[in-house]
Amino acid sequence: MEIDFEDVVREHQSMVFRTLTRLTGSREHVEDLAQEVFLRLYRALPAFRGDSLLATYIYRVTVNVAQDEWKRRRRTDRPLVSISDETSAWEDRLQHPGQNAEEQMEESQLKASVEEELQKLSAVERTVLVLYHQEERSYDQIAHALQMPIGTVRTHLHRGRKKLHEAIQARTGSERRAS
Amino acid sequence: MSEMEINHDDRMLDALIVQALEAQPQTAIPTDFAARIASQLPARRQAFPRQRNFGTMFSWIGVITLIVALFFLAPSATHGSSTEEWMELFVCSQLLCLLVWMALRAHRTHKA
Repeated sequence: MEIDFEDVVREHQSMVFRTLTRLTGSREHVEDLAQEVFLRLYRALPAFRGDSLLATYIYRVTVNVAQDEWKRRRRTDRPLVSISDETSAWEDRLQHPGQNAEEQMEESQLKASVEEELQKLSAVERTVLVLYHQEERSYDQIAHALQMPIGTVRTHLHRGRKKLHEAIQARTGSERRAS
Repeated sequence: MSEMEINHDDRMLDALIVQALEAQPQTAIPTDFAARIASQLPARRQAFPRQRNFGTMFSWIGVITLIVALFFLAPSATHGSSTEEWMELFVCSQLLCLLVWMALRAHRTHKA
């Protein structure tokens, strides 16, 4: 059966961009990485047996590309430009006009902290958290995408959330003490 | 702070973390992204099949040549000598072998 690859790209591009942005913690080079995802997908399509959803297969390719990017960054020791640094505070405020200034400030600070701490987690914990919370994938789909048992996915999710909770708690505690 | 308050704070923090995780990052996708990706593909696609087409093309030329040869040999084989009969048989078996080979090849390509 002939697949129109342009349609496949159009259908999944926003999911690929979103996931790559979150997994790499930066908007820099995301377009190049997304391009790499679709070219790898195109090459891998003949081997795709259809035993999982195409979307799950694309997640697997996306995670592999993100992992390669982390390795490359580690080699070149490139500093990260966090997504939270890239969005300005007023941009965030415009999204929630109902909140008062203090609430907005706290919320955007927390978001920035979560973003930063997310990048400090292990690659697999970060991937599981992003796929589960941001992409709303089921345990089964994550297990398929990462090729690991469902129990392991649950463990990584629990561990990742716990680490994130402790890190944010430590941060807010030290901030309170400082103020 | 009482234990209940600590638990409440923990739950609040968990909820806020989940909320932050669920927030989708803003992305800027170029409008022509899909078209650009698709335009890069045909070059890759053409890189391999061209060699394979040569084989198929020559096989078909062989089949046509053998059929024409069979037609030319047919009248002389019916009235002619045993040499011509043997030649007709030889051309016939060649044609058969070529067709079987082509069918097997097409089947394998289709399966891959």
